[in-house]
Amino acid sequence: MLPYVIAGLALGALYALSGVGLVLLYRATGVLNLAYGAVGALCALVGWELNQSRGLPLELGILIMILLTVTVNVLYGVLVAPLMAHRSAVVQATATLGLALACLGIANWYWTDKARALRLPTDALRFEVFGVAISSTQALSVLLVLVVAAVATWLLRVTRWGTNMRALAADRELTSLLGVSVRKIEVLAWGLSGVLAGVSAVLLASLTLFSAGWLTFLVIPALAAALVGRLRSLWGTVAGGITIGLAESLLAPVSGLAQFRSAAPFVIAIAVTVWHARKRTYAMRPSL
Amino acid sequence: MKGLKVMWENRAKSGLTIGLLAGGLWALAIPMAVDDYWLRILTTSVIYVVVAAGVGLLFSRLGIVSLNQIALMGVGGWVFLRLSYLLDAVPGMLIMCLAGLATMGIGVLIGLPSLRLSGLSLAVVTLMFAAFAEIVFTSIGFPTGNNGWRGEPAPGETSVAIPSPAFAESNTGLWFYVVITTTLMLLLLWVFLTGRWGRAWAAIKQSEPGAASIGIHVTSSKVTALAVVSFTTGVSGALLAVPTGSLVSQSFSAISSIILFAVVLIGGAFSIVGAVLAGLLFVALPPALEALVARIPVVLDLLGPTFNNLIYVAFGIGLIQSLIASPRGIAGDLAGVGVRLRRAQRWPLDPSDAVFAFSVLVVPPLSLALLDLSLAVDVVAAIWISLWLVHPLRTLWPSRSPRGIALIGIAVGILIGALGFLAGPWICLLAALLVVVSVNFLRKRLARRLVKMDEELASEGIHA
Amino acid sequence: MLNCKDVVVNFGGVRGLDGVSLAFERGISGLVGPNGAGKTTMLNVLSGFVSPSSGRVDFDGIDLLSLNPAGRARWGLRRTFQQEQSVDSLTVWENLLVAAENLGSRPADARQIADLVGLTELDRPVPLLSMLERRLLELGRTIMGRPRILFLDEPVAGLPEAESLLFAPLIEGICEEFSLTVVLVDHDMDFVTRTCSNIAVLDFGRLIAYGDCVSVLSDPAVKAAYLGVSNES
Repeated sequence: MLPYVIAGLALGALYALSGVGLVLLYRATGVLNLAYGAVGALCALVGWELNQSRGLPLELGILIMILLTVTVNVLYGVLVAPLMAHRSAVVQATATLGLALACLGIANWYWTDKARALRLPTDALRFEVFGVAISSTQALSVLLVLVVAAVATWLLRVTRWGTNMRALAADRELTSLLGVSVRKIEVLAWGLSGVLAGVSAVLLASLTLFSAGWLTFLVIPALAAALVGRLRSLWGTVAGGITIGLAESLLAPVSGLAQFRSAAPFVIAIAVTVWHARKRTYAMRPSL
Repeated sequence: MKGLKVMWENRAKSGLTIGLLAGGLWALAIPMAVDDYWLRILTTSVIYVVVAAGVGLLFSRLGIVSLNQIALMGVGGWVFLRLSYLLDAVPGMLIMCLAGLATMGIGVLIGLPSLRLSGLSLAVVTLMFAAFAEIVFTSIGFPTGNNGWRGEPAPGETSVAIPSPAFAESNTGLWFYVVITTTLMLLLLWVFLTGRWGRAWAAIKQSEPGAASIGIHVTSSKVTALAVVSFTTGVSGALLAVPTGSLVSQSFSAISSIILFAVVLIGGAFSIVGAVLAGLLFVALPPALEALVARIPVVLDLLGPTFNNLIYVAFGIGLIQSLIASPRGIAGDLAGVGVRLRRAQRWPLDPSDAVFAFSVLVVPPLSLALLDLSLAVDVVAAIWISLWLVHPLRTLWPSRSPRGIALIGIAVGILIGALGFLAGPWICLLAALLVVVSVNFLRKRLARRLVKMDEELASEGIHA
Repeated sequence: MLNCKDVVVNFGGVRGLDGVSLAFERGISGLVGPNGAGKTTMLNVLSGFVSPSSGRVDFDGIDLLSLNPAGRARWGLRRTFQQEQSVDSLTVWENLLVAAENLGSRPADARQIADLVGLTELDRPVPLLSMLERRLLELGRTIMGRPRILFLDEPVAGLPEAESLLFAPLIEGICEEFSLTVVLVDHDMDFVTRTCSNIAVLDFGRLIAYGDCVSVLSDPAVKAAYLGVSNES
């Protein structure tokens, strides 16, 4: 049982990390980036390619993976996203699907959907807890999400950058009229989200499967985690992510349900949605 | 009162008559023009037209982004297969309706909680359902005629395919079966769109508070839209099972729902023509591209055997572009054609509109039916270039007489047709494209020169 | 009679309405007050778009707070908005038809309403209408079916003086014909005094005066609060 719990915690931590990246970006720019996994997957494959075929050292390859993810995210956020900043949240999120399709298309063209292996240096270091072997990758994941969630919550609430980011999501034009440099904040928000996306992609590729399609759709558990946090609370997202990871992992040894365990995010998300819809009263505020 | 009724009906019905007429002509011509392989591909494209139309309806009339339509097709197909094995004697069409109803139930169930929250949550939940369905279909597979609720063969048993309906035995019979069912589904959508529900949806899209203030129950109306679209999508899923009597889970992946949404927006979410284009892009484009590349081996060497994936890059970029700039898609750009076709129905008939309607509606299917494919392409390209040239030539040379313009247009058309006859349809299309691009370039230069002249005149006027 | 008792609305830390109690009788009443006084909030509470934190709203004993906005509209409580909400993608006739279909009326009745408010070009798409026609269309949509209460939020905003003069007799006529309770929310005091028999004045979410035009306008509390623009010098 315990190995499944450990695995679930680590996986859930990564879902939570991705979820936090999604929520941070959404709170700062109003864009729910559905291409979160796809961009990370493509950049991870590029880094891997450089390592495998060009002989670049693995650490450098990983660094490039993360830097590339940040670059693509920032480019999208600065060049494409502002063109739709005045549209509804759905439209902005749907546009990121276009980015996801493009990334997936390139990835499948050059690398096909064959699964590869990404071995991180931290994979080799293992230590024992209660008689169960834990890889330092797993430990790193859990530690990372806790640190990131704490830092990000502080960032948004206390610093000036954080306030500016929240203002930006609320009303872009008004914020720029107040003299806040909209460009800089957008770069910061997309950049931070990109870092988290790159890191989660690398860690997830190592812990689960390293294929473009798989990593792209890991945005689903991340979204489910974000929904648990109602797209607002970072700690809610963390809780959601860890729950989903644990649920998936603990279903693995159950014979009848094992093949359906990847459906855990959907079930949890639907349950959360139904719960929110129930409590919501019908008072609409006319936005006139 | 009667005048009102007639006037209102004209707007909706004229589109319907044109659509049915054009559709009928093309439906008759296509089996005569293409071989079996392409006929099967086009048959599948037509099935997806209904699904595309549903996605388009939800997005264009209600702003709803539904990312699980392919998964719902899978549900329809699954129910259809299971019931077909269970209910031997029941006619196929009835089972398809039952499959549609089951899909309607599931579609509404998934959408209902999110509809009360926000459009974003619906998009996310439908995306998750698409992924969920992919997992489920991969795990339990599709029914293949044996006992048990999954209809899977036990080890040692062979799977049985359901027999096709008698008239769908041949490829052509199947084509007409699919076309007729699809037309019925599209008519169902049309009835809702032009009736009281369509008007309520328009009011909701304009402003939800405004709609509520005239008594429209916003959530119920949205649920109705979701229900109708899910029903038609379920029936299409059932149709997909008819050709081979079986389905594979690979057809219902989560990414295909996203691709479908992209092509719907690129083709045009606001019209049936857009849905047709979407169906073609979704189903016919990959094999068409493969056939094309097979003729140009250097591309294959350059891009490798997986070049088809680059289509998705184009779709992704196209999706973003449509959302930003052209919400009506390619079909929207062709909307002027539709207006002229509708005018051609009015009496007294304007001769140029009549010629236009004839050339656009009748000539292509006729050529496809009577001539060989490459010749038909040459003829159609020639005629369409001549028609298209009239307006730009008139702006470029306003002093020329209309007859002169028409003659130039016809001459260019004949040239292009002859080129096609000598060098093949691809060269013909390339030449046509060249003509279009150069004429547009000349028009832009002229427009810029006119603006410059205006500015010079204005400044002279100031200094005079 | 439309009765509100102790209606309180909280927007976060701000009190939009602070225990307002009002009663509107048959006939045309006015609801005025400076910007931010809570007029639109009151309207939103009465029409169902905002839930009050506490208070009651009922009409001849029927509790209106139990109905959602669409339900109240079907029951007979109609309202207009500051930015009129006609559907751009439909024609005038189709706009009336939507209202008729959803408020329990028939197309023949829609035709009658069109005649009543004076809309003649029924097949014009809405974007081509003049402001006057748009306002008339808006009015027409609100009196479809069996209206009982009518809330008009700045019904003549955006109209020149000459055209807005058409509205007063039109509203009075409609009010009589359907025996309505009409509440007019406006800044234009001339229009209000010309049309309404009673006026309620709000300021900072509270009711500071209620009565007939003459006594309200000479109330010193009302004069102290900003009354709005009078077209006289």
